[in-house]
Amino acid sequence: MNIPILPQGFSLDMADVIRILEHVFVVGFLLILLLFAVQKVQQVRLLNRFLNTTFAPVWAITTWVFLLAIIMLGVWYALVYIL
Amino acid sequence: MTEHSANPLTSLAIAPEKTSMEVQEKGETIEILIRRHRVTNVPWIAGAVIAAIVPLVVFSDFGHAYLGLTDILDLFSDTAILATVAIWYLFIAFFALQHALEWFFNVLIVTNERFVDLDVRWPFYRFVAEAHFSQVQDVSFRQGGFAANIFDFGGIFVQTAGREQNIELTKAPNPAMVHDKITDLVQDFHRKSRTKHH
Repeated sequence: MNIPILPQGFSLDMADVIRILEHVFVVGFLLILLLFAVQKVQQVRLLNRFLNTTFAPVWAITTWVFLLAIIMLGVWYALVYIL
Repeated sequence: MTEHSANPLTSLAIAPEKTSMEVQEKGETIEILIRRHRVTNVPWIAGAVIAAIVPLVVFSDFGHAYLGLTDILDLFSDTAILATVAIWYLFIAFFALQHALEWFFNVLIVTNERFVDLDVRWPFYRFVAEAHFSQVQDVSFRQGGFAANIFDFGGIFVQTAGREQNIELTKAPNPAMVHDKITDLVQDFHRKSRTKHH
């Protein structure tokens, strides 16, 4: 595939374009999820403070597990391409 | 109201145990805590279950044979497909968590002095309305519709004086009983304040 903005000597075939789109897709959605998870952790902290019940630790742990799952997926995805 | 509700996931708790509010005053006790009826969670739970089944169908023999996605999936690397499936399930988890939180924290709290209405909406919205019993003009409930009659849920509406915020909770369980208990509490409060003044 000839792309005029690429430096001379570089070329992209369809497989390269698909690899780039894959990275944009996965990293983009992981960032959106990360944003949502951070917001949930903070929201639950505020809501638990407003209404304190025996279920408060469950919400806190659930949101932290959700956040950690996203971080671990991101780390795994990065390691697969780095190593 | 001597019975205490210990279950934190109930939709109607009378004098709930180990429950407190940030805005609770000294000597103020939570008498009733009301959430939407538990059956109102069925649509989002069903949605999450259906969404969770989608990848299983897509990557099954049926999916390969009839959905015609094999050629498209062959274009992408196994890592990207695995990551996409994981992201899909994380979005389902987020969807479920959001709805569970909305159900749990959208509460109408009735203390021995006032109403506190907490509203939580996706994604960042939080709204708190309060009305003291002395401001209350009318407490009513409304029940209508097929599901509302079968599962016995309805709206509780508290009308307050002047331009004060009106308090309401839709799809509350057993609205007739809740209405009765709320009016008892309001009457008790007025009786006590009259006695205090005499």
